[in-house]
Amino acid sequence: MSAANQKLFLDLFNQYKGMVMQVSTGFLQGDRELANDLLQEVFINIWIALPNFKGESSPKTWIYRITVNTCLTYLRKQKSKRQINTQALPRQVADVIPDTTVSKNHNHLYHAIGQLESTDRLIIMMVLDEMEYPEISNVIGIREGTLRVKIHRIKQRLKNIMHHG
Amino acid sequence: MDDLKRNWKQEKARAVPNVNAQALLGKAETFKKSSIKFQYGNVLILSITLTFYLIFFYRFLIYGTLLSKVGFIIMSVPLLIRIIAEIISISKGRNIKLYDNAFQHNDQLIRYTAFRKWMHGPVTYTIMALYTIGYYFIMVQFAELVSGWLIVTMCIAYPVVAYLIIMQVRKGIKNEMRQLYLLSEYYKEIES
Repeated sequence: MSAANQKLFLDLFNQYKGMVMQVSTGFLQGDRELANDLLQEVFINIWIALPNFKGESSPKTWIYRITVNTCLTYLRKQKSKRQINTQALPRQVADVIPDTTVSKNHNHLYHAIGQLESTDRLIIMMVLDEMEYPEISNVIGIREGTLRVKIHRIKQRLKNIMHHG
Repeated sequence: MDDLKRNWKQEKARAVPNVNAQALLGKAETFKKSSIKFQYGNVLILSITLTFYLIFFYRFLIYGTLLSKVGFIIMSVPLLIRIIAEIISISKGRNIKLYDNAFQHNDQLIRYTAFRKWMHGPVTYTIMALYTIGYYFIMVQFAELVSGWLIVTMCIAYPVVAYLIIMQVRKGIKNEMRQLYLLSEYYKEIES
């Protein structure tokens, strides 16, 4: 692998590690240790895909796509391995996170996000990250109109969870 | 929602991974290499088996009976088909792009898994059935070359080995069916 690609990888890592870590943590309901493993998988996939990065989309969108697909694959592997239900793992994990690691508010937020379906979790995190709707639509692969309806529903669900959960 | 966004932004500062970039780069390169080795490992094993068959054919069966020659062909051609199918599978796997959008990626994974299921199911069972017929055809000629007890052992051992392989194949199919189910669930989630 060329030195140019190595440099590009390190630049992408330094620029987007925080973003990927936050999505991974949110996806795994606040478990930083598992999120660290997931982040590594994401960046290994980025390294493998790097020769195909042509700059047609922004690096952020490109990395988000890889992150979303890696998160979904990760969860599928976990389900396949242990045949657990969608929320069993994150819930167990969140229960053991001390408040010193994650503040109460954030723990509550991660916990609430964790109650959503896997793709909804990823979509709402992009909304929280203030990504534009066309960008999110580009990452998920659904029409913008459908996405707006979907996001509206996710927000309602999240609000209900935060108030009652 | 604004509160949530504020919380999310604050949390971003704390999202620091405990990973060394250079070490991760090394790990990624090692993973890439081992992944390629793993992909072609199966093809290599099957190709070595086929080569062994060809050597065996030229050593023992070239002047053999028509039955043993037919047996050899029945055993070898499906193996060659299996090697080709494995190469097609690798190529299909490589066409799955992680940087595609989630919908396209899921779609590609479903097609790929369905292909693997077909390959590990009907294709493998057909190959095994043909292989079994070919094996016993060859045994007739082989009986003239080796001692009787060895032939008996080989004829008895074969069904045991075949049973173990079938169990392994069934396990693989079951896993692929589960993957297909989970992928179709994502489909529903994305589309709903």
